[in-house]
Amino acid sequence: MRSMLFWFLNIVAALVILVLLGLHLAEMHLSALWQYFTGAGPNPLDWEQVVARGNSTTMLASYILLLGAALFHGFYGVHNILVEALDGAKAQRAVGVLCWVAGLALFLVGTFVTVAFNGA
Amino acid sequence: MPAGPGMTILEGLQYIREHLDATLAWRFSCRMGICGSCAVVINGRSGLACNTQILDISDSEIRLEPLANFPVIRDLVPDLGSMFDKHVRLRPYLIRADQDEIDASLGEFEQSPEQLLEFNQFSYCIKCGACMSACPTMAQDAAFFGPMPLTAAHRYNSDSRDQGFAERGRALDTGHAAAHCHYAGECSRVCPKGVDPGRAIQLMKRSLVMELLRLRKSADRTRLIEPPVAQNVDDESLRPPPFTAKHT
Repeated sequence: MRSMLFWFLNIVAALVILVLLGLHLAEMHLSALWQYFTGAGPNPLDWEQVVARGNSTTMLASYILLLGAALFHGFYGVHNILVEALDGAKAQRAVGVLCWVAGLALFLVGTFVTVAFNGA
Repeated sequence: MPAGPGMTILEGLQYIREHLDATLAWRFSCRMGICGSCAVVINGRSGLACNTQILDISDSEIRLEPLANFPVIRDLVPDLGSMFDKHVRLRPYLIRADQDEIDASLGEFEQSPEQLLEFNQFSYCIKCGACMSACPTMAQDAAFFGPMPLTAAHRYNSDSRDQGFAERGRALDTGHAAAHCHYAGECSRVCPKGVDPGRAIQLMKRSLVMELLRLRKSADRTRLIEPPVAQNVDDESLRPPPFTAKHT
């Protein structure tokens, strides 16, 4: 059932990306529309606002969640493409291991940057 | 070659062998869309030669090729061995835990019309290989089980009499099974029997995820019932009228 577990997590990750990236897009890049519904407020792109978001634990958690979801979703797709392109069980297993190592490394780096900024 | 109304691709092939090229090889048997032997690629689309009429094809030229995604034995004859190997690996038969019942059947398994509808359309598959030839995932990944074996597995997984979901689940857990389907839908488009393998694979994904989340309904959803017993008809009105031969 491992293959189905990864497929299911891929779908869940897609939903997480859809929600979090949708919120990000609405707040950062469609701020006029966002403020029409939430009321007028400061410009989200102001430095103070960026720092405030960086210091918020909720935002920190959402950044790490989005990072994890995006990495899993992306590497799941890359893994599937490479598995189809490569012949041989050994090569396909190696692709799986490489994807996990690269994904975890990027997740750790991304989390470190996010957490480090949180305390800045 | 001449073609008239009602003439099929299969009859065209027979004409070619009789009049133009006696060495042409292809596979056929029933000539009526039942056996699935004569599947070929007709102008880029997989289908049965016996139920495709020549005049129904709008193109002025007809190009026939052997089924894609299979090694070719000769001319239009593909080697379908890999498809049947995968089919067998997914246990396409009813699996029961009650060995006593298997060894000496004690009755019949009750099945409601609703339970029958859960798998009925998937049992129309004739294993012609048209879906396997049309599948773009098969073209990329030779280890992918493909639409036909996966549909067969789902057909038995959805049968209320079956208890082999876990066993098939282990066989399916290879990374080249349902989760790997891109859902291009070509398999459903070309199926000559109207089976919808794309749907079967999506339903299989759902049931596997439900099983993963421990939300799937119990596999054993049937019970053994007494076999019907022949009854004497005592009511005269139900008897058929006596047969009388008339001579003219």
